[in-house]
Amino acid sequence: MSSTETRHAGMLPGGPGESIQVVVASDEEFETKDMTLSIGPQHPSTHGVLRVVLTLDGEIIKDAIPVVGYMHRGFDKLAEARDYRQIVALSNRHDWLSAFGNEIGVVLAAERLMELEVPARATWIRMLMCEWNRVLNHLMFIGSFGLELGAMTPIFYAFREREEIQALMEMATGARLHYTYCRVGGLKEDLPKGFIQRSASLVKIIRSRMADYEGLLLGNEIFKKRTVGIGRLDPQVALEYGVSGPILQATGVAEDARKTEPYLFYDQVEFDVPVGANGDSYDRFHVLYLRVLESLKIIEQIHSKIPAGPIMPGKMPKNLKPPAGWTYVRTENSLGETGYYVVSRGGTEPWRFKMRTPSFHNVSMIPELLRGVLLPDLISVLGSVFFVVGDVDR
Amino acid sequence: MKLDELASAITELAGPIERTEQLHGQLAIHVTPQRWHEVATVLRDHPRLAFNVVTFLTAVDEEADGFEIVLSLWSARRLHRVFVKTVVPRDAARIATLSDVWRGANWCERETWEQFGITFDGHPNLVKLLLPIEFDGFPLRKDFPLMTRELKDFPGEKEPV
Amino acid sequence: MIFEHFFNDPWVILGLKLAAVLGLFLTLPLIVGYGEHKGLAHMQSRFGPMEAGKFHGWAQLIADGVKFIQKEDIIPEAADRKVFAMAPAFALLPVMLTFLVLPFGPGLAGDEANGFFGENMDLSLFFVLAISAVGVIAMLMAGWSSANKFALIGAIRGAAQLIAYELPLVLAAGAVAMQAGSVSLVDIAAAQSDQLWFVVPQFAGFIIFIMASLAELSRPPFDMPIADSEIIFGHMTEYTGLRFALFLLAEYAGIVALAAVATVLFLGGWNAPPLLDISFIPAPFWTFAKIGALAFVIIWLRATYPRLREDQLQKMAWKFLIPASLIQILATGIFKVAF
Repeated sequence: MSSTETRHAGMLPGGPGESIQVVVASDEEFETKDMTLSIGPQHPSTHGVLRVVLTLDGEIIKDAIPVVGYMHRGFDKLAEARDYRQIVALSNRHDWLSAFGNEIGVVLAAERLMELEVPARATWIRMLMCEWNRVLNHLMFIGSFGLELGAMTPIFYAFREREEIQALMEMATGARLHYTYCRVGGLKEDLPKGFIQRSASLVKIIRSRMADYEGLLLGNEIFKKRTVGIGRLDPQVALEYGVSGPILQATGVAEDARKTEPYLFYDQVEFDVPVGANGDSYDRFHVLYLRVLESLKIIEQIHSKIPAGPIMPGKMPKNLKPPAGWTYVRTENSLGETGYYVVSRGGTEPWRFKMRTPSFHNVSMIPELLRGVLLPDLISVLGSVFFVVGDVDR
Repeated sequence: MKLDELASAITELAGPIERTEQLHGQLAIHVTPQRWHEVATVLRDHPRLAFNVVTFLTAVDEEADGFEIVLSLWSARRLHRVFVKTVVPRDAARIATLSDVWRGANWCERETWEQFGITFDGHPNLVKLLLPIEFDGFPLRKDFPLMTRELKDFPGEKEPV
Repeated sequence: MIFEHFFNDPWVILGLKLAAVLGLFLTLPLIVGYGEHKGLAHMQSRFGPMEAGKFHGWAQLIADGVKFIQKEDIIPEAADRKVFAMAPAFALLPVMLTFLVLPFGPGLAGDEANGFFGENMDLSLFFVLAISAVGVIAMLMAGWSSANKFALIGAIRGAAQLIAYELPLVLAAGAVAMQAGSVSLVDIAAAQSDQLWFVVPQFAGFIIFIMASLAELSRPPFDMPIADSEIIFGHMTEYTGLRFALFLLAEYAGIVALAAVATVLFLGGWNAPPLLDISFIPAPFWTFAKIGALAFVIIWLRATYPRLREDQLQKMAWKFLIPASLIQILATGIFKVAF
């Protein structure tokens, strides 16, 4: 029972000179409680099994805690029981939207430990595959970000484009999603006849269709209202968390492994690293869009630069035994910096195989963006912090 | 900065470190566990070093020699990288937390704790990150068996035809 | 003789009218729904329904209806059973009642009370606007009784949105009533028979009315209450089976009803466009054509725009639409008096 006090409410209709007594309870009865809401692990917008536990005051988020681990498959432990060829097949299951980008780090690490010389043709083809995978990944996020904000149409266009690229990938590797195309020393097999021509014509088609996304999303008034100024990320905070890739570039930091620590032959092609001005959701999306155009540019340059030649450096030993040592290979995967820290003790299996994934750090940074934000903006922010759950949990 | 320059800069500025190591074009410094936090702070703060990005923090199980903790740092300003390593004994696996130096170390340390059992003193929230709450044991330790290998031999042992 | 006597009997006429209204109520939303499936599909470079009924899936929605009817009736354990069960009725009945007064054609010559409409009420516009406000109660009942946090958020958003957008709807319609000099839908349509349709002098009112209707129906870009990427399906999250089908029927029937009201108010009702006035095309054809065109635009908007956040929605209503509609009324009043 709370204490109550009575007050006169003034002159209310009920007859001249009559006042009505109003009983006002004390503040205790009017207290509101914050609501705890779990977005996920099954939710249309969380791109897989991510759970965010929110403390809501009405529709304002007071606190957000991401809960991950629903898809933890123990890659690090499994990799210690496999040799390097088998690890390639496991690794491409992480960022499954651009699977080739995961494989390349594994073989580069093994090749560096063995100090192996990879033929030029194999390196150029690897670059080509990496860039097509980057386009695949970015197109998916371009489509799904629109869907989360309510625009139903761009995702269908994005998937139409992706289907054609996946058909191209199938032509070379035999698989649409998990390629297992890399081998230590080179590639599994050479490109089929007609691949380069098909790839060249596909570049033109996709470039012409990118204008659709610009009209439907980037120029759309409502899209801008939902994303400009939302989820602003400070570059210093981003760097401290280890955020990388398009999210970091959107905050204004032009950090791209292809430029700062070139691997493969990225120092022999010309491309720009698009940066954003404000680090908000609109900039992250815009950087993604521009990166697709840059990747298409790179692909066109690669077409003219692939030399003839072998794709494996002669006869490779059946059991690869990289000498004892350690190394860290950093690649610029579509979502950011994917790295492999490999410790070898001279056996066929690695002693320690640590995979450093970009989505892990991107998701750890999410609470910084979400304090004081409205619930629909949570969706806008989550959709713009590009992550793949397989990448987060490994 | 070239690796030799970087190695000498760190030796000069970060106080006594055990040794430096260069392998395949990358630099690692080995420190004692007691100096872990101090060295990390210097690496972050000194303008010639300016390591402001935690790339990863993990551990390697060296069996009888203990756990080797590996911290990978990158400087976005100076564009150089260093690996900071230390060894903690197996039966006293504790070290200071770095989550007050870089916020990115927070989740990395949680993961390392749950996979290896290394305690990070002063960590604000050392609970399981990737594993379910009920999980018992530290999976990445070498004495934690991978069950499929207990049941079946490693198929890669046989020479591929 | 018996036939004439039969068809002049007021009870028979009433029965025929009710049957016709019910028939339209059950078929027009299905046509609009099928149009949405196909329209959205072709705009998104895919086909849409192709199987049900063999020819381009024309029977898809009928198949959906049969499917919904045979589903298990699930009510969540923590839900308030009576309120949960009654909410679809509160959504459906108001729309059904609006169909009674919508004019699809003029009254019969010499018999004002009968014609291509259910009932020629003197206050039919007022009736429609008042009745359509009852839909808010259905949303709140569904959201609150579902015992689901997402449904609750959707219901509260919906209630705030629908209340905010009632005002522009009423004010825009009021400006038209002022210009036509009557609050009866039949009279408003008849008043546009020889002169410029009201969409020209009241263009701003037309835009405001369409936007407010979209918000009343929770259609994109105003579908925050049912934002399916955030709150699953808003107040309808826990509904399944026939109750869910009735909610959807109410939504599509609402599209038809509000498109019909907009047609009557702004687009001249059953009047043919000036150059196409061919005598053998019956008047209802033009009404249905205009309703179809407006429904297509509503579907088109769904395919194109992302959704507005609800505080941006509220800002748009209170700071933009209401002042604009007040200015429209003011301008209409001045012109009415001055000219």
